[in-house]
Amino acid sequence: MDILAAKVIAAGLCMGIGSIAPAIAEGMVASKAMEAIGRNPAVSDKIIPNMVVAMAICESTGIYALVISLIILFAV
Amino acid sequence: MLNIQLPAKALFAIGPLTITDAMLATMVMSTIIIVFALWFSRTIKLIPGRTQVALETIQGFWHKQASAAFGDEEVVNAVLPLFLTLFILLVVANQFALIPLAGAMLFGDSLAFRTPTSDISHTIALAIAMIGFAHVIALTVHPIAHIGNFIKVKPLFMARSFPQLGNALLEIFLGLLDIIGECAKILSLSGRLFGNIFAGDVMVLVIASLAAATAYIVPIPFMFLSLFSGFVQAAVFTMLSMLFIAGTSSGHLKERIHAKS
Repeated sequence: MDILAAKVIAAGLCMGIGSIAPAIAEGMVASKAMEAIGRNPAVSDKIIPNMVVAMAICESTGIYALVISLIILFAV
Repeated sequence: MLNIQLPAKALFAIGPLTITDAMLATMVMSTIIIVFALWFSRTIKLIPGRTQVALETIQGFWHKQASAAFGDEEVVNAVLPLFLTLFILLVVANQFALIPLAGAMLFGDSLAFRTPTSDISHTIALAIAMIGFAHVIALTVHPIAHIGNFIKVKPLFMARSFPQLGNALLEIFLGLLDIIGECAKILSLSGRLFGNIFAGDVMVLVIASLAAATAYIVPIPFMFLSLFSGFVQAAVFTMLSMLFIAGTSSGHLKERIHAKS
């Protein structure tokens, strides 16, 4: 196989498979936050910043996949 | 293929020191922050203006977070400048692309500036500084005890029977895993920030170069997304390094500060 084709396929697979779990995790964080806001709307100001930070941390495995695929594409 | 480079481009060299475009951007950015800080520290008033209110809000937010992480008020006052500096540096660094014309200036025949945090050397350096700070503080206060947290030979000498010996060997193995865990902290902190910021830049570049029609208005929502993630990642980096430092050396910091006073 051509090396460029292999790189592109590897980067695509890395991103596609690697973004499944973070997406599920972020959805869970968001759904729990929405539940909490639904139960007690008065504290939504406190929940939203915490939710954003928790989402950013959940996102990190997806970002690692992104870094790997960028390294595959542009650095190797 | 677009002109996207993962390592920063070397521009020129001063002796053995190679200056890259990210380093140049970092220096310009630090100069801006230092000049602003010097100017602003002269205009602080008892009745705050708008800028002062905004900065005091940021300071209050981080003071609250640091109080929750460290507990002790004197420790918080001692370490808060470090985290505020880190946060301000990262906020300005992540939004470097928004400075007008900074992305278009040329040095020789290549671009002079690049978003500082989209160079992995920069984020790795910051992460090593943060994790290293925690370990240096812990090592200066209780060197033997801190090394003992990672190379756990103590249960080996206290073992009296074969099951205890097995547990002691397991403890040593887990201690070695903790050393790898510390290195993984550096990698995860730096990789998260670098990935977000670099991906934001690449995304805007890709969208802008898709077609002639998408070069001007279409990238704006994506720029807004990378602006937002720049703020969030600056906060996350600062918060995580605060938690790591508090987890490793909160007690050590307390002893050190109380011993001084």
